[in-house]
Amino acid sequence: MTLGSFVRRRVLQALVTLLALTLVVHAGITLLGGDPVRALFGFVPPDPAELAELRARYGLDQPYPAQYLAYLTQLLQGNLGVTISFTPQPVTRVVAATLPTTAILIGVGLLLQLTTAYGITVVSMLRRIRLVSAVTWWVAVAATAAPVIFTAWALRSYFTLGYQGLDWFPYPFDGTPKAYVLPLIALVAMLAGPVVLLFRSELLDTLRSTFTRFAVASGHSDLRILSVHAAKASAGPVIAYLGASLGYLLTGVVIVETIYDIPGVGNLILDSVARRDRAVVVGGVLVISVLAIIGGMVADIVAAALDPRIRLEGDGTP
Amino acid sequence: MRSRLQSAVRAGWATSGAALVLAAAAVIAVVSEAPAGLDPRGCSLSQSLVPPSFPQHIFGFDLQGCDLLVLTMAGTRNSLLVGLLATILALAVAIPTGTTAGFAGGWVDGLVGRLVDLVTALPIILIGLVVLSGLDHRGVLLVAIVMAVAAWPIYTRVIRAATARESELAHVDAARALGASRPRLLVRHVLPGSLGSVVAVIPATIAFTIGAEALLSFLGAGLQLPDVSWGVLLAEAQRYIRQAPHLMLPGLFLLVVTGALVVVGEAARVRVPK
Repeated sequence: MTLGSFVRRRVLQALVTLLALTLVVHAGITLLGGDPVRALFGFVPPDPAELAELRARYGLDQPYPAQYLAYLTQLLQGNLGVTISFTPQPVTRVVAATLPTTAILIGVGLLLQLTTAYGITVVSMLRRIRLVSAVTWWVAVAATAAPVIFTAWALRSYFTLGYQGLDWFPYPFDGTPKAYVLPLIALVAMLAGPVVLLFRSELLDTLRSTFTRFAVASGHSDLRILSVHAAKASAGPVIAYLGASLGYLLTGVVIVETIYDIPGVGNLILDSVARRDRAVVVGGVLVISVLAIIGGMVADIVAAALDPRIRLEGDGTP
Repeated sequence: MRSRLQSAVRAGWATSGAALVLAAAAVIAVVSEAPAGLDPRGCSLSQSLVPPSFPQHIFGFDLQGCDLLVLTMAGTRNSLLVGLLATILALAVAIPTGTTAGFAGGWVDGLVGRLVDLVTALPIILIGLVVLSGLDHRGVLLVAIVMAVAAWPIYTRVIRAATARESELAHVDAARALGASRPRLLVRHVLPGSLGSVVAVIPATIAFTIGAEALLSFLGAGLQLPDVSWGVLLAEAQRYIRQAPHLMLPGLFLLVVTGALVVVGEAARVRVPK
């Protein structure tokens, strides 16, 4: 298979997954999420006529398949519906307003994760000093094991102005670059840990191969062999892992947003869950999942471009 | 040559230590009575939020004046139970789907592949949060089901790859040439080799599940009192952390146990052939 036809096939697969995704998210949240219109009234017993009118306005009196089809038709025109509230707004606008902040967290988080994991792994393996190697391993294990909610919360408690906390970083979130520091540290710790562990064990395998011996015999420096030759040969499984763990990254972003009160998509989703505003929840979850699907596709294509074996044998994923 | 079993037993001190930690956690989970710490007679409001004192109450007291160490030990049972139940449920789905996809190939493989892709892309924990927060009573089983939905694609992916690889080995061809039926080929010749790879993934996935339970409970959509778990305790702590930083101590249990699981998982990954 050429790279071109591999890319075409992978894009087609992603489109099929996207379609199924809309059904799963919409059906799951609509059928299991409770009655959003009743929730609008809170503890006030609503007037039955008003309740029925509101339900009809949101199409909630229709049978479910009709609701989904109506949603899908709107979705294909780039419309996520309107918020379920007394002052309805387009969901697309509400979600779009929160997207830049989340995009910064995802983008910078991914970039920092990759550079940190790559740097730490290469440096820790350059000279075989047992202590350095052991310390790196333990730090990576600790970062992998610590639930992000715990890291994020502990960092917030100790480094922002709380009880006995140091006033080093602003909290609540004020949008300055400084305010991004703690959330990003929590994210990078969660993400880089598993990557360091995986990259390390892949590199150890590669270093035993004959091709490394050839590189040594060719007179390349240790640093160059490790950071270029061996790293490239070991990158496949790491990139596959990154692609498969995007859902995990995005969940992490949502959590970090709630802990630090960052006005992003994640916070919007959780607020809307509390308000039972199903339209915003479906829209937000869809946007996040679409990001994960596109990211997974890009990761597969990059892996295939790096390693011809993947595109020759199929896509490498089940 | 040393047998595989022998080399598996020859563990480093980190792995042995981690295994000990896990054994201790299991003992605590079995021995401690879940409602003991919440027994109103066991707590006294006059000790509300009293900080740790050595050596009697090394974790201090919570808002209700209950010994936090007793509570944390009681929470161990539910936290581990969620992890274990979720793993069993996820494997019950993943072993049939993964082996069928890897062994049969073709459209079955394609279908399972798309399903796995789909669920991997979904922020399951978030969707679980939406669904769970709409329910009045959320028990251990319900939370475990959400975790199982999140975990099965991980297992299916691994089992499918291992089965496909194992099916192409010479001894499977030999058995096929001798006329073994497909079920026999699968159960006797393919599965013994392929299930090894999934064992290596289990510990880290349990760690993920336990962390995710803590997360759901922390956000108020997981277990709820009177069920205690580490996540429930941390959720309680969240509100009074300014007055009483020692309320974060249950997190120590969480960190040590998930850490031990990751260490054991790393050891297993190195040993099990890819």
